[in-house]
Amino acid sequence: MKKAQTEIIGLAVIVLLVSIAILFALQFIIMKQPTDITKEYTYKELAANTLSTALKTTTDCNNMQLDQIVTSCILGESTLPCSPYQNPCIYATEVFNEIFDNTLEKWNMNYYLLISGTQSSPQITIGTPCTGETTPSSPCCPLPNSIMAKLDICS
Amino acid sequence: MKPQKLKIFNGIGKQIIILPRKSQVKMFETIAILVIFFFLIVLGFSFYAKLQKITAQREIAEKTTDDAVRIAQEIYYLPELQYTEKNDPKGAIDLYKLNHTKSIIDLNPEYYFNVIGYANVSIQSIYGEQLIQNPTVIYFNPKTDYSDLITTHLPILLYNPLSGKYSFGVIDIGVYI
Repeated sequence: MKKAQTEIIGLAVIVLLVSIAILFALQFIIMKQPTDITKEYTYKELAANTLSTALKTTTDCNNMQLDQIVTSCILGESTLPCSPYQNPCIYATEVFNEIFDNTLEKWNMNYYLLISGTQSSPQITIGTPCTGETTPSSPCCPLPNSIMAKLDICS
Repeated sequence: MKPQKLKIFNGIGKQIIILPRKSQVKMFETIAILVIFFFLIVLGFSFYAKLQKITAQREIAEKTTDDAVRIAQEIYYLPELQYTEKNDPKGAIDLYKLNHTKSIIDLNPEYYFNVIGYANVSIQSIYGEQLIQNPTVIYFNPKTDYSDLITTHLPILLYNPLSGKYSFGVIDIGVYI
């Protein structure tokens, strides 16, 4: 075989290898899931609905709604008229935990709930802050303006 | 096409080695290039087929999620379930209506099939007042030859008009593909 022929075969092999590499690279790029708008919408709806529904729920404590208990906790207004949970923050956390254990936990979703007021007021936090992609709940809920409630669902 | 003949003599006798001609070498080259070309075509085609399959699967999954969200919205606003005051919906499901919804749906299967399609819909109470049947199945219409069942959950408020209490509930929607 002449030298030129050997070079041509070598070139063909290189072209072949480069083509295979490009195809593999393309495959990996395409296989990577893009940000799914529908999924994001569903997660956002889920976060918003979970939080707003939970806050409107009537609790076992004197038929108070959860948003009233949360407001009492953040504003430090009063203790609760029900035993054994007289601290509104502890009681609100208990109720949120019961709801999340049977919903988001059951559906294998990681989440982070943060309800806060001013810097000096107490906070309610449940779960661990999301590290990767996050779908936050929309601003919601029948809470006074100084209270911020946010539920993040980690994607 | 005649091959080139090369005569080599050694001590035992005559030996003939046949070497290919230049045109034969060229033909071999052409065949090799064609083989590589077809290999690339097959590789490209298999890649394209795989890509199409992934795209189709993604579209099906997206459509199913869309369907589940649409069904959830339809169910949420069904007058058969909504708690209303003087025809004003209050954004909650009436527990007393819920107990009779399945019988209404069973009486009009064609109408509800057009609205919901092949799916299962149930409502369960998570916190607060428990339902008579928890979960309460309000629609059950499985597809006979389905490849997958995708379930979506949507939290909702359940309202008891007699006690005036709100409970935390969830609509579970299973859509058949």
